[in-house]
Amino acid sequence: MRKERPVVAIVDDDPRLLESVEDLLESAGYAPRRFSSAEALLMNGLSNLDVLITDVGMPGMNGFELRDHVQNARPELPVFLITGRHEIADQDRAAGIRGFFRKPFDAQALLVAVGEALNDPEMEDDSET
Amino acid sequence: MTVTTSSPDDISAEAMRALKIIESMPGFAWSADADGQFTYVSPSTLAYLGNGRDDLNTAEEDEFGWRRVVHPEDYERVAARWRHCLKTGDDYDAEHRLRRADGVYRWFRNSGRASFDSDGCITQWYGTTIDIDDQKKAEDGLRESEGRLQEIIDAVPVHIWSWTPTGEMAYVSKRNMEFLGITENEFGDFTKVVQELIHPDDAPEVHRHAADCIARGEVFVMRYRRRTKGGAYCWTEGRCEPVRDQHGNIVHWYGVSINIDDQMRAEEELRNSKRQLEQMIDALPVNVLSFSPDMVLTYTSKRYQKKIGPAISFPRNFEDVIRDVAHPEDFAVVCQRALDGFAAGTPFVNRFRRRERDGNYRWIEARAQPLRNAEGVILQWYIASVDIDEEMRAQEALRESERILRQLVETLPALIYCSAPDGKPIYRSRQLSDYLGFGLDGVDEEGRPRLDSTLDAIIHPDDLAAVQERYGHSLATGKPYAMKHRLRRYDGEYLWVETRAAPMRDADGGIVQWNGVCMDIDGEVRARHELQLAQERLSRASQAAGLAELSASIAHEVNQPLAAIVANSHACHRWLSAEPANIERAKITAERIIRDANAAADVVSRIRALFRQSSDTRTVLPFKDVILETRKLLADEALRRGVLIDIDIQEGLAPVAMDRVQIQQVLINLLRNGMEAMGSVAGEKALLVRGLADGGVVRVEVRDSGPDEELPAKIFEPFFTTKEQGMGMGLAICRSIVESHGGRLWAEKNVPNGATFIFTLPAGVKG
Repeated sequence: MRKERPVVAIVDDDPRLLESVEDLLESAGYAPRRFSSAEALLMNGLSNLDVLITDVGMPGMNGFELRDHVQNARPELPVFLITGRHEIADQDRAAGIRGFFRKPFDAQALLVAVGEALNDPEMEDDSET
Repeated sequence: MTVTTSSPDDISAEAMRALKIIESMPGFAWSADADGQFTYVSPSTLAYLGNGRDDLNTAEEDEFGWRRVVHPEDYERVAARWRHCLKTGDDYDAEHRLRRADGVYRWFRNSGRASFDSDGCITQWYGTTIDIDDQKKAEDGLRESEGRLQEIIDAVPVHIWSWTPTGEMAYVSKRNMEFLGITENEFGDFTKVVQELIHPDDAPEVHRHAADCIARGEVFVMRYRRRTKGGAYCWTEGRCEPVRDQHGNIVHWYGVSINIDDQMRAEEELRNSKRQLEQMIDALPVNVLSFSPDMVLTYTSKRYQKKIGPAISFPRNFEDVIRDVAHPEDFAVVCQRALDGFAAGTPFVNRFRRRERDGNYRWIEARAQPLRNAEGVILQWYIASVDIDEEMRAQEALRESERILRQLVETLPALIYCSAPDGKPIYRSRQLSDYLGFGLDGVDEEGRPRLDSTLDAIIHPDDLAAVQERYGHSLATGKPYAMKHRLRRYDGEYLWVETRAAPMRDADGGIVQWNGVCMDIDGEVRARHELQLAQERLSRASQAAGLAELSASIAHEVNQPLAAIVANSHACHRWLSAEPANIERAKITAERIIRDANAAADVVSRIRALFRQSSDTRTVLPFKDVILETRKLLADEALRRGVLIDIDIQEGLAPVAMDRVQIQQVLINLLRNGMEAMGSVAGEKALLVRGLADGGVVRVEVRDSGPDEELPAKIFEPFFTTKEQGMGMGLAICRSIVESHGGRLWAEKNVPNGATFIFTLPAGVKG
């Protein structure tokens, strides 16, 4: 095969959503990594990741905190936030953030955003087809 | 005399001898015939008279011849007797004077006896004439001295009388008779005299005693009342003593009666006045004792004797008396105080338990007072005692009940305090002092009012303003005070307490003091806080969570499966669109889509169930309970926001059939809206919840004092909100709940500011 599939980490405390996003990413040709909490992700380490998708409302470290942490450790790593609580999305700290999705999010739009972030023409093309 | 002889010679000789005897006797003898003519007169007689016998027989004008020798004063009497005797033959006895030859008269006793013949005719008289002159003169002397004695007796101012040895009245002095108004003839019968002259009350005893004395020969002394001439009775002391002869036999009784009426009356008056005094003393409800200056008991009132015990024998000293009657526990103190008082001569008072006749002790108060003479010397001590048992027992009961109350206050599992009408603390229970680490003292530093410094020192700074305001309001208006706040413990930690205080008023309604209690509700508050957090997390079932949060939670609950469904359906499409189509994965993904869609549908049906009109979750409840419970749920929040929630529920408001959780949600929402509306208001933030009957419905109003703003028309529409947070679902859901209960919900603007949210529910039981 060509080069290795990009690794996309998905963090959410809801196993159903985790499962569905993993399935979506897999169907789009990514290598998804599932984590049920920010702490679990951090324990695994960030080095082998290409993209991070995280839920906002989680027990323990929330999505905003995880994003901040990741941006310190790996500033170039693309991070996408998704939330089920729309009032959170309306808040100031969420304003102006590009990669912010409200549940239920547009799956196609998420894949496009992930592809753009990876600047993977193949993927992009694939996604466009 | 009769001489019997046998021969004339013998006769003559005998007669001669007899004559000799007669004529040698120291007396005169005589004989006379039946006519009284002397047949013989002894020579000594004739010698005395200096007369011949014939002279004596020579009658003169029908008078006896001896008229010439008999004293003229005696003659008539003697002659009359002699004539009588001559006629009857009776014994002749007469005393008279005879003139001696030298002309001197001497007293003689002349006695003649008649001798009779067989026919009873007088044959001869024989007689003697004996000189009794010396005897007679002695008698006269005696009579004279007796007369003089009599005069003396009659003159002395006592009444004298005498009894015969057998008790017959023998003599009563003249003065005595005059006094009594009786004559000699009236006192012969002693019994009768006693009955008539002695007062009927005294007579039997006088009679008995006199008879007794006479029988025993003992001196008679007695006091009795005698009736005087005027009929009045007069007190008399009678004394009578026997006079005895040399053999000791009583010859006579001599007695005196002394008038003691004045004395007796004086004594009687004294007795009366004493009796009156005693009666007065006995009538007064006090016991009276008196003691001599040397502390010997001299008097006890009847009441005392009756109450305290059998008659007390005198003399007894104070200590013995007290030892006898005082309770052993009281004796020492009582005795010492009394002895000190006696010694100092100052009045003293003792309160002690005194034993009564029945053996029971009763509390008394005894007051002692000395009586002094003009020189200030103590003559007598008077002690008056009053029964104070009931008072003492009442006091004791009071003390006991006070002790119990104090114990109650001190042991109640609450912190208790009292304060003056101005709020200054005047009492803190031990538990409160222990909690705070100090009592009433030691807080007043820097000259600040104690209340201020106390509140500063013990109330959490965040609660202080509210407490001061509320407490000040209660003190000013007299309304009960109730507040939840944090109270500083001795170790510096603040714990939640609920303080409630109410005024204690006097009969006129004036506030005497405030009584307050602090209940430790820290655990409760913290537990409720925890609960609230949990409830908020469990938004669907939470009573306390707001509908805004609830709707957000609903959205989240629905969004979660929805997001999964969207992602999965996209993935499914991709698996099917792939070359070759990955049917296996598409199938798995499609199954997940079905699963999550069902889950979403479940969420929706659960939410619907939450607001469903369901009769089986409805119960008939009094509105007051629901409202009070709601306020309780919001109490901490209200405190935090500085909002007072007043509740005014009409008495006897009909109960309402309701879903408790739903109606509580409505109330919570309206109350919270009201509190939020007042968030920017300065000054008093008050929320009034009223419940009242309005026709067939129960009407509940929630009135806030928020800003003066027009109410937006779309306030009850879903997703309308004026708030920065929330989805605007609250009032819409409230309206839907109220309408599902058959009621209405609307809002009105208040004048001058604020808004009132009003909802109605049908009163009574309804399915």
